[in-house]
Amino acid sequence: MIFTSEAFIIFAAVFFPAYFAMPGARSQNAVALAGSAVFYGWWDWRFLGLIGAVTLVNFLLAPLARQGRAWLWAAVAFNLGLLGLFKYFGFFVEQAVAGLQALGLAAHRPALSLILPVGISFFTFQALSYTLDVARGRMAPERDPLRFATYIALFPQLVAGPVVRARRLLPQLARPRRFTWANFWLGTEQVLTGAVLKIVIADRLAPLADRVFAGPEAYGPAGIAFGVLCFAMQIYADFAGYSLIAIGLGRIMGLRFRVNFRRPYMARDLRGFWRRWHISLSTWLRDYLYIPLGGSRRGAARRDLNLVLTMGLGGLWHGAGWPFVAWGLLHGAGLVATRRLGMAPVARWPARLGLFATVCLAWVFFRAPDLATAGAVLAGIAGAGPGQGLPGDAVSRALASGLIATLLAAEALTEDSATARRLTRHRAVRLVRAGAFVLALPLLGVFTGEAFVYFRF
Amino acid sequence: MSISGSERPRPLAPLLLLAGVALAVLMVDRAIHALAFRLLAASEQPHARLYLGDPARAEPGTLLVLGHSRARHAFPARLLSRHLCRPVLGLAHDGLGMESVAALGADALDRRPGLDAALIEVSALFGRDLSRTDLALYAGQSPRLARLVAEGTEARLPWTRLFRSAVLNGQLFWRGLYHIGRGAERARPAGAAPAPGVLAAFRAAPPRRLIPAPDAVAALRSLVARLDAAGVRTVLIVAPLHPVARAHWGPADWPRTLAARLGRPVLDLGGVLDAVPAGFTDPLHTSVQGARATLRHLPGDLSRCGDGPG
Repeated sequence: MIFTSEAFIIFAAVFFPAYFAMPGARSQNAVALAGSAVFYGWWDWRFLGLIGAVTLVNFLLAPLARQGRAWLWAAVAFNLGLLGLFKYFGFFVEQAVAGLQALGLAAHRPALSLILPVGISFFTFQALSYTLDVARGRMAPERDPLRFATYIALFPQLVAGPVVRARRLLPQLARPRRFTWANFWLGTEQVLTGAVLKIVIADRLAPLADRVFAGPEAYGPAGIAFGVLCFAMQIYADFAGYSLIAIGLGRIMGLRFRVNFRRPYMARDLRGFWRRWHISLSTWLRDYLYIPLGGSRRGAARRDLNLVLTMGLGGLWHGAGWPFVAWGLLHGAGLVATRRLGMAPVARWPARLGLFATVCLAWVFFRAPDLATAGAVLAGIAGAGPGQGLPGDAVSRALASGLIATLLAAEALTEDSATARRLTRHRAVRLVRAGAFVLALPLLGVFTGEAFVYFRF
Repeated sequence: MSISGSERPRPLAPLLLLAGVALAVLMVDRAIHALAFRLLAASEQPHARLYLGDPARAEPGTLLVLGHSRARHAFPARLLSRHLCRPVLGLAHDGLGMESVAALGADALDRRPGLDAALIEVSALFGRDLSRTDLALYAGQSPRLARLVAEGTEARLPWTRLFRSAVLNGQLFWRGLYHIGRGAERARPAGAAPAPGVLAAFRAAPPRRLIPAPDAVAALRSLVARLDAAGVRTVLIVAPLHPVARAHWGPADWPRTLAARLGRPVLDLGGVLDAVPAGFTDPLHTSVQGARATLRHLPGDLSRCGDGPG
């Protein structure tokens, strides 16, 4: 089930009254867990067993992991093994077969291929963070299996994040949650904003980006650059939109999740970008990968290696393919360069534009189906391609340009002007904005049931 | 009740606020709808002219072009008009099924008494529309479109039907705005040859056979009968198709069979651009260069030029 579907509206109309009708925390958690099972099972009920297994194993092993490292390793191996099996099995087998064939040995691809369960990267990372935190003594093991299962399976952030830490969510699930109008208004505003980002902006830009990446040879430098720009804004609007819907639904339920995107394209360098982009994942990678690898405690050379490794693995987390790894490594190299060279004394807007161009070029690897296509896109931008055209027709390009300009202008204004920030918090402005968003959805939305980009991760 | 803040025990206040916001939103929605139609009435886009324009502007001897995107690309109104020395009303639109084409054709007959001949592109007779929701824009002006749209809007979320401006959500509306103050429908920009990746994907895909949908055939039959009754000459035509796409769909003998059943010939131009390298922008759609080359294959007697087709 996706948040922008008709089915979800019906689901929400049944779920929320039932949830708030419950007298205490335990019964609310039971309703939340049952609702989450329906939400996830709507896609494929067979994978409910997988979430159940992740829940059970981490619930049982986390307290033991505190007592012995072997248990901790067993839990880590289980979570990463599951992720590896479902997400990376095909990729590694492909590489092995290609390697053997390159050596002249006969090798065939196995007939077995596994479906990627939606959200597996998110719920395994949530479970892993809990077990690691318990093992390190940062939190007490959870005693209530119902509460723990609700934490793992909670539907707002189950399939595409944000990755919510157990330390933050479990204490909230221990308390009964009451309906308040303040939560309702704020949550609804966030859901509405997220829906506009997804349905109006991301889904409008997607066809233009898709055309360019399906056949970059057909387009000239300006056309390809426009397609890449469309993708940069599409993935931002898509993922930030999903995160906002998840945060807003949590808010209505009386739960508080941390913000996951904070105007990332207004950052001035890559370090700033990663403090604003997919914050729940970047902090997860920092806390559970970069710092355990040694972080910056073992000298500059080791720090650089740790950065590149962390970002490379972060790239692989996004997808089983070399372009994702290349994307991660590029960001790792960029972070190393930023650290080594420091922040250049450049004015705000040139710095922003430079960073935006860099991030857009890296997105080419993220979006391209293979490295050859990424190369063709980059060659096309440089003017070395054979094509001349622009993607889409004049009307869709004008609409896309208008949406991109509006989004970036709104972000720049909110970022740079304290007055604008104050205004956006004013009740009247919020009401007008909410009304405008309600109107924008039927007027400009794309209602073809496009899935969120991050579902595939 | 504050939208952001403190709770006070006044349970009616937030509900009243919600109702007030909803009412204001619906009023703005109606205002946007009314303003948009005022703007569209000034548009030169052919559908806007047909449904909102002045019927007195009908020009005698008009050629009507009907079909989906392949007709729009292969027979652009401006080129066609210049080539045949006659007014052309191009109502072909992306993704239209034959039922929608028939509704547009019937509306054109009712609203444009000057119609003299009709080109109907019949290369893909699908019943289910790819863009029927686009036609919602003019459903208020046409009971035929209203009926079609009511049957084909399942893709929209139900609550969007509360909003009148939801009908503005489609290519036809944006094209209408684009054509305010501009001349007749513009030809597609020249573009480039089909991307090798797209052609490769066509070659790699398993071959398919096009089978006309029974509803689509019935709609075409009724449209042809209606045009005949009004004394409008009808030409069934197959627009050019890239050789890779033709190979993908196999030999298309059904347009001839269908035309025979309707008792009229079909002009199959499917292969006329095989030797025109830049004739297509993608495997399905002709470029401007391709459209120019295609026009030379139209029947000479469609032309009103004094000394032959221009």
